[in-house]
Amino acid sequence: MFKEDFRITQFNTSNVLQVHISLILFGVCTGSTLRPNHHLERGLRPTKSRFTYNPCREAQVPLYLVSMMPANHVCSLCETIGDIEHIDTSGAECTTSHLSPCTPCVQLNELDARIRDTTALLKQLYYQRCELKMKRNQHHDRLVNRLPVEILSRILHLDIEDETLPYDPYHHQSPSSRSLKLAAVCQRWRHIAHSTPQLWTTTSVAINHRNVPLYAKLTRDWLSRSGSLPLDLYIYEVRRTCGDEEDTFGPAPIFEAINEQAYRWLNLSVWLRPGLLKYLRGACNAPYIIRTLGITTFSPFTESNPPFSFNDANSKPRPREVVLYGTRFRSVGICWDEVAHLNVSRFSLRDCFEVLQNCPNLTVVEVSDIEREDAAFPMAINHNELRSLRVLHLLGFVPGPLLDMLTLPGLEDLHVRSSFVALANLLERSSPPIRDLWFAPEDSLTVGGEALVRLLELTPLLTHLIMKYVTTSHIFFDRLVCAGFTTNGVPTVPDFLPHLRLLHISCESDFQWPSLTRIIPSRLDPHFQSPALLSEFRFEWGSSDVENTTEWEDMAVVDYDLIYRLRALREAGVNVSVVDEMRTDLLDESIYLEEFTTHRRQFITGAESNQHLASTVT
Amino acid sequence: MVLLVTSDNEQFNADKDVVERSVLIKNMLEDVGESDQPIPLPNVSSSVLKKVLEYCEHHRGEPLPSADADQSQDETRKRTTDISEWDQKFITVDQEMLFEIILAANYLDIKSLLDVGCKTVANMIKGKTPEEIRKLFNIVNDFTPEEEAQIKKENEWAEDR
Repeated sequence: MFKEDFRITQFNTSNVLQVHISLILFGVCTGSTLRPNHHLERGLRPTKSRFTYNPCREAQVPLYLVSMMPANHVCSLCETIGDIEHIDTSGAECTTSHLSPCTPCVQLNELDARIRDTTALLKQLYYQRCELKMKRNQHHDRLVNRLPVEILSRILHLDIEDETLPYDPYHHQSPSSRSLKLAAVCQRWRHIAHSTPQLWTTTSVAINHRNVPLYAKLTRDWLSRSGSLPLDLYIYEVRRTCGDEEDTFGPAPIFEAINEQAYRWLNLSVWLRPGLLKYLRGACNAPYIIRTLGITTFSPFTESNPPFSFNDANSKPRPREVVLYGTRFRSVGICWDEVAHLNVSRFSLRDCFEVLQNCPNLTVVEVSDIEREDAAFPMAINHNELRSLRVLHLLGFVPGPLLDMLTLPGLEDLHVRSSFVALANLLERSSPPIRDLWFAPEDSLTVGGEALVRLLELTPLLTHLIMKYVTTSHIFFDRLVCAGFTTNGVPTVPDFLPHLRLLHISCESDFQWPSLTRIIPSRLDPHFQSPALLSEFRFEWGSSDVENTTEWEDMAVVDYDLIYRLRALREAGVNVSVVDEMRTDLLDESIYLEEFTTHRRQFITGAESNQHLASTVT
Repeated sequence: MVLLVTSDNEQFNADKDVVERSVLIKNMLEDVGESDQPIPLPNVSSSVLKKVLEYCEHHRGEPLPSADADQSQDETRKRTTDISEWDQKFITVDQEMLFEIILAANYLDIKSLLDVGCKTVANMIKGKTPEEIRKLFNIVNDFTPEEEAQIKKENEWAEDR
């Protein structure tokens, strides 16, 4: 007894009927037990998605060749691997009264032998066909034929460059796909793509719950193609969950492929549950070159989560830039000595202090969503290297306790929503050379213009000032007037914010617009000059309390004299803008309104005169 | 003035500071010193050299990219496929001429021109599917079923995210 395998592996919707007809005819010819409705017997229906991939069709393979596909192919209809049919011709076991196989069985055996030979021949022809197509491509492909491989590699690299931007899992744009597409054009392109390491240095590795062994292999293949170049990796879990439940799918093989290349990690971003971080162990021997490390976890670290640390204690990663979301300072086992840029979210207050205490080379810190802790940090911190501190997106937390403990004598850029007092104390204590200040006082209503002036007197080097919902007054603008303008062409010597170039104010609805006239001269002023120093004004019209926002159209709030002054200033080359919450430029709007009003007046006047004329004629 | 002789024996006279945008020619001139001898360019035809000289003339006086420019660009990963307006107009030629210009820029060692050529080809294939690239360069899918199966797996892996 022998079995002949017929593997019908590649279908498309248009061919299914033909294939079934062929099978029936084939069964009639051979007398075999063919079952073209095999899929229906299994109760399976072909799904549309299974027809989407059809390399035979793409390769324009004749229908009769579909049976020549390799044995390990999956049937595109029923997902059966290998055989669909086992044809039992039973010739060898045929027993008749004549003690020899019957004639039909003998003929079946002969026919089966011929089919085997023909199958082998067809297979051989098919491969010859592929080879000829490859040779044909060598003649036809002008690009590959004309240009040397190093230039082709460069072109392919340029093609994928836009995809090597930092990966954003929220948008599911995989930087991997383009390189794979270039390698799927033809054999020659595939060879060139695989020989261009730059195409394979950036990838996102999905920790998928499915196909772990296969995906581990593909990850390893990908990384090996990058040769010895530094890697940018974005590792994330596909099926994220809020809870930190046990991982039951065994992702270790994928992480092993990544860990093997740990000595080449240059930029590593991780988006995982804390429970999966334990698999990311790094290298054992080689030193790290890692420059940027980002760790985002989707549930908070708890005591049950082991610290995230790398294997070799002698050679911990020494990143320059660290981005953390949802982790604890002590949970990240890296060497913090060389960290210069730090961006953290959902740090506790204690974490903030610890990081400042343990990172002597920090120059830029951005923190958001600080989680308040009752336990106070025991000691004040003096950090000499910090140049930029940004405290953003606070969730009901006032960073007073953070600022109260800090002395930052090197601070040049401060961005903070804080109490006036805490900010003033920090500036007084540190005497920093602040050039860029963004602040939104929590206690604006209780602070007057004098306090604002006193605060800003502590920042004499300021060039950029952005204030959100601050109560300004004539006092502030009176002091500022000397800062921005020349008098009779002779620069004044300002004693208040002498270097100020940019001023942005988010105005509350009770903003005293007339006070602006202190710093913005009238066009009618014979000594009108372009501002000498201030080069950008921006006023955001609106309120943190949206319901109380006064409409700009309510011109009772801002009189036209001021609008004309602002427009004149813009015409003089100063970047002036007044915008609302929708970022509509209200100065442009005012021109439109003015024109509208003029046209309306003209219309009314015209109508009146027409009426008068008509009545006169009558 | 420098005399250049092309592969089809045509002679071109060009200013020294124009032709010195080619590192190859610059080195040759430095090697031979002051000389009236023509410089043979056996790998460049007259039609292509005309285009190359047009490019060099337009960019005359601009600083030459330093030798380690590529390396630093690789490090920062900031290169783009943007091409200036004039360069874009200049490089709007048929495929054959485009490849010739790239080859000439490579041979003459004019980095900026080579860059423009490569970016232009990269822009031609950018965003295209394998099938569209095949059509663009008149090639066919020559993968064996085994390779097709591998590509299918890779694509599924890339999309299963």
